[in-house]
Amino acid sequence: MSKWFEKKGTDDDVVVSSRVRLARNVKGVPFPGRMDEKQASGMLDRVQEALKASGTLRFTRYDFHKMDAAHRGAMTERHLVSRELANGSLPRGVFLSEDEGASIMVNEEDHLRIQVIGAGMCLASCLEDAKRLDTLLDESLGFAFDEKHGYLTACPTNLGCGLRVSVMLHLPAMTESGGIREVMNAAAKVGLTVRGMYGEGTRATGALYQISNALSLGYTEREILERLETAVHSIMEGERALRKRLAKENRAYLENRVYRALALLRSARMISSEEALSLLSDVRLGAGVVDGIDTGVIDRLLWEIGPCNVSLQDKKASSAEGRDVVRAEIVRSALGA
Amino acid sequence: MLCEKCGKREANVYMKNVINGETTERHLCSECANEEGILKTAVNPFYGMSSFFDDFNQAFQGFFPGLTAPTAGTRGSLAAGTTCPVCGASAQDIARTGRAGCADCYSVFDYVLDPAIKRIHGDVSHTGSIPGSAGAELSKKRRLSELKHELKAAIKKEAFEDAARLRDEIRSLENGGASNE
Repeated sequence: MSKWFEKKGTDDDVVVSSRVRLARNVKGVPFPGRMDEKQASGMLDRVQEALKASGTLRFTRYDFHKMDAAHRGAMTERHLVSRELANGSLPRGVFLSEDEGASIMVNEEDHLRIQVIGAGMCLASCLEDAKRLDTLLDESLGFAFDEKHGYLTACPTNLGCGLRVSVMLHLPAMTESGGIREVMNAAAKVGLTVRGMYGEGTRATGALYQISNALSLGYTEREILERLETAVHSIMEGERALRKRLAKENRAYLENRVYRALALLRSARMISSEEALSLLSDVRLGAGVVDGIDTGVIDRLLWEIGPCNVSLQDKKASSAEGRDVVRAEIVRSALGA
Repeated sequence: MLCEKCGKREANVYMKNVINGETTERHLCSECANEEGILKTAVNPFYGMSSFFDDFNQAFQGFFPGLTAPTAGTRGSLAAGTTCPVCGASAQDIARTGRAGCADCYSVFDYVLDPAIKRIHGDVSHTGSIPGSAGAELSKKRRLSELKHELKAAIKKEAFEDAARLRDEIRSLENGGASNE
């Protein structure tokens, strides 16, 4: 079965992926912060039973307390689980769907974190899928809820719908022009957070950013989703306008940058993840304005070139240098070089 | 023409600035221009595009009139002694970690958590979806208060047959029976 990131997404010149996450807890059981080992492994089993009871869903269970750091890290790099889950100490884990688009983290900060991720702009369908899982699991687990606070979560900031919607954006033209600062300020004023995916601040490596809602109490799921969609659309228009302007005013510069990066990626015999990220970003800058840019291939590489994922590919990738060699091989083969 | 800065090399960078209608011209060699960072900005094709965002910022905010982002609050003062019967957390534990110990902490320590929640989210209640399990309980709660209201009215009217029926219905609902609705 193909993975979620191998599908073609809409608006993929700017939007890499969409993600929806629901924080849920089971009534009458202490939150992971105050759980003992027995309660924690009991929770993993209860979630497994609940998924089994639903019948139709096929999920694979990964027990993080029994996995080595490289396998845990690889899932973190692919955004299937959070860093907190990878580094925790309690019995904990994740249930992953076949295409890796749906995951249920167990015993992270809350008992359950239901996550659905998809390629390109697809928040509505992600939310729909996550709500379907939510309803199914609630039937056998019974989620903690009260009328005033909504879903009860370990951290009070997640109260309400327990919903975080986020979109991963590629904004090279906004980064270079300095406009990303304005985007960050504007987003903060409407209750949205923009942060760099790799490296903080306004010059994130690879010009990749994540925009998400900060809070979800006092709003309906639809309101939260629509607010983010509106913001993403206006950011998208801004990025596209800048790229088009660059293509019109300085085509040689743009093409030079895109094709040089492509040539380097196709020829390099050793490449660090940081260099790969920034070259992939340069190629991606040409999406929608330069011919022959396949964002699908670039985005698949984004999830495959992290140090843990590379180290699992080949024995010789046990050192940083060895990883750079293997990474260069992965990149060359993906780009058909 | 020689560079007006160093006076040694040939000037090959010409720069014309118009600021508030006042025009200044400079003739520099590429080395001096480089030193002043002029050449760098001149060849950066993104240079000057940021003005684009003055309008962008305004348009962006226009989508959500009246909406301002809440700021994260600080934690309130705490009373000592009480612990949560479900998870054993104290008010101090909650303040130290910034996390509730379990779902019941929200009612046990409402005096600590509610002010914090108000500071984080504003004075609001949940308006989003309700889980199926809680939905059944909520409708049961509503049905119970309706029945009790009807019972009072029946007793007042001395309609004892109705009252007996209502009393039985309330009793069965309170003992875990499902709502008729």
